[in-house]
Amino acid sequence: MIRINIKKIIPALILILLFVIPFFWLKPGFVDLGGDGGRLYFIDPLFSARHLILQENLFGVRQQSLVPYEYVLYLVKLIVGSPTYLIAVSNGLNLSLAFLFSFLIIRELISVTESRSKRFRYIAALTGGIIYVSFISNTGWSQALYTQNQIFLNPLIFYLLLRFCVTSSMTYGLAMLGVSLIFSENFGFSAMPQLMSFFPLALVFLYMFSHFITHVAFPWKKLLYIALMFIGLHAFHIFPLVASLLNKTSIYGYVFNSTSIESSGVHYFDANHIALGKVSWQLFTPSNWGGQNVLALLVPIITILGFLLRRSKLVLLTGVFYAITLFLDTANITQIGVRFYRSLFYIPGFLMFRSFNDRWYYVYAFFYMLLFSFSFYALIKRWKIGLAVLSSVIIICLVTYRILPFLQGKALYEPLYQTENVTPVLRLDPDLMDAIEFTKNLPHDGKVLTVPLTFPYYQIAYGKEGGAYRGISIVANLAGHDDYAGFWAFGQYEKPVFNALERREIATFLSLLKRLEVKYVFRNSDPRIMDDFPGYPYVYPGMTYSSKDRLPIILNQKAYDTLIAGLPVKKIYEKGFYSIYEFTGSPSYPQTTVDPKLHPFFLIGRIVSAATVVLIMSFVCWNVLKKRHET
Amino acid sequence: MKHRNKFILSSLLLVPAIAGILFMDLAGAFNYTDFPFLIAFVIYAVFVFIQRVQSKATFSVALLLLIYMGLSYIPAGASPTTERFGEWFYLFLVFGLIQYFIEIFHGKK
Repeated sequence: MIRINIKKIIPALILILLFVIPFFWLKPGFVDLGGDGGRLYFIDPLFSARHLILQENLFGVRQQSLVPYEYVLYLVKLIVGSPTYLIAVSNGLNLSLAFLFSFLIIRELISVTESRSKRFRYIAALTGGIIYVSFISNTGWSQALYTQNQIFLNPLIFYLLLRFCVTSSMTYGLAMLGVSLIFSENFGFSAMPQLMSFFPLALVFLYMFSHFITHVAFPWKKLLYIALMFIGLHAFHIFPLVASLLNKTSIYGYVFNSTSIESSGVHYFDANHIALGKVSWQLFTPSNWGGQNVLALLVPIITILGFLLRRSKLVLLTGVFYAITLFLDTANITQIGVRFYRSLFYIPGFLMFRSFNDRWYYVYAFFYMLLFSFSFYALIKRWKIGLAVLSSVIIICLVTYRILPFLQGKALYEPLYQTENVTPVLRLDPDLMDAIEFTKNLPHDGKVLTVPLTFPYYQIAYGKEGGAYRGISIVANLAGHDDYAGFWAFGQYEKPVFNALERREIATFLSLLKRLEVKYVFRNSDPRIMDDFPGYPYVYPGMTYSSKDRLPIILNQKAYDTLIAGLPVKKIYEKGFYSIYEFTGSPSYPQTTVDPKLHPFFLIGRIVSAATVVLIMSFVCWNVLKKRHET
Repeated sequence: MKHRNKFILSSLLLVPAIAGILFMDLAGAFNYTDFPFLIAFVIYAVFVFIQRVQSKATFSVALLLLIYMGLSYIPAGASPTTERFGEWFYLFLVFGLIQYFIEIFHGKK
């Protein structure tokens, strides 16, 4: 007879439900892409991975960590078939695993400190898991960054670390390494803010938990082995990164340069901390969904009630971390607090936390969830079980009601900044994909000028249906050709190019394009991509290209028609809105993706990573065989 | 003993003083500077010391401030008053945590 274990069935059902929900967010054939991350690898993960492997340069240093993740996506895509379902799987994993590991952490932490009340622990863990899902629904879903997986990776790795600390079993350490390799994109250079905001605090929390609460020796030595193996496993992107820092490249400059710290850090913080640092948004999170009603008070009140109900070291420890992260996430509590956060920018690397409300949010949400769960447990543990279940169900229902728009997928459909209801959800235009395919097959004998030009390095393309893609260059990421999609991409030539266009000096413009090794022009002549985007990303106040009126020569598609007609180019491809031109008589500019200074580090890094994989696999096999032999 | 009782009794006058500072600050009388926080918490620390107030009382104040903050947030959103309530709430929370810490580790000894 099969025994039904209700305690396992309920979380399993919630897990399945949360995994399935994102499959209803996008219609078949639709995708939600764009932004700084772009996430174009959902369209062709294999090409993206192969393209990145060839990039043994500064771009490669920043992006190399994506490679294993993209191979995993490729394998998943073989099963699910389309980018739509690949995105749904990714979102489903985010939601379901975030719930599962929050549930497991709460259950584990309470079980270590409380020997009885198993049923109450279970109820608190279930409620806490749902609360965490509600917290993470708040932000980051529209035009998600590729570090979005942090929302489940934070609790997942924390859970493995917790089990590792409690049991000292290397199995958990190896599991951590495996997870870090599969979701490698969250452990690279671009994910540094996410890593540095969560893991140092999590480790300190776990150390204090072991030292003051469970009185178990912290497994420093084994943790060191795991750290060394982590470096070995991730050497393929860590080694080039270290080399680029030692070579004092632009990456070094961005982290350590005092001008960067002042302009990108301190000034940005001064301009934004009042508008972005709101205590109320954080306390009544998820403030994006049905924020301003009485339901918003439920979770914070229960959270603070925990301090009134009982004295517990666990509540104290979590409370301290909650207070720290609330301070960091708002960065706007008292004038002394603001000055303190401002002064932190002078610590090398702290610049990555300039978008404080975004960078610290998931860490804050994590400790908020823990504190809520412990408080809720303290509240219900003296109640009758029926009352405890009822209160849990009521909280879950109210929270679910609050985030209902999110569960319906409305987070993805937020209109793009400064547009009239243009969403980033679209069905890809086959004409665009054909043009990209053509570009992909062009010889690598020059760079591409992608027009219309934006102020940063964004490209805009409407879908066949739905909204528009607005994000990092499609030409660069899907066709594998270096391109200039915006003024920032021109680097040191940004201002000269701008001046040449402003003064209508075509000869100067052409000579600059020659210096920039431009051989092709990729044009999207869709008038909507200029008319529906009156401001950003074409122009941005305070930047070189601050108003469309400043450059009448590229004001609209008609102006581009005239400009291109005056250039020495011949059309080599046209389909729909997309045309590709080649500069006549342009010399060949052989393109290299290998920086000789960085190449040895890429090579050694890959060898070390491969060797570490072999080492870990051998260790696992040896242990399995040993156990079998013993039994 | 009589003197001590008088001392404890008169220290109760500090409560309206703190409340006065809080209300004046919320009304914007101090231009949202840190000055009222400093004065109020010095007075509150003295009050806690004299009255042997436990962390529960401080957390109760924090909870009350949180509820007021919520009631301000519902109609007005993240207005300056709501945010100021938030700052007061946060500082009482931190003060309460310090007391809580002392109680747990002092109680153990």
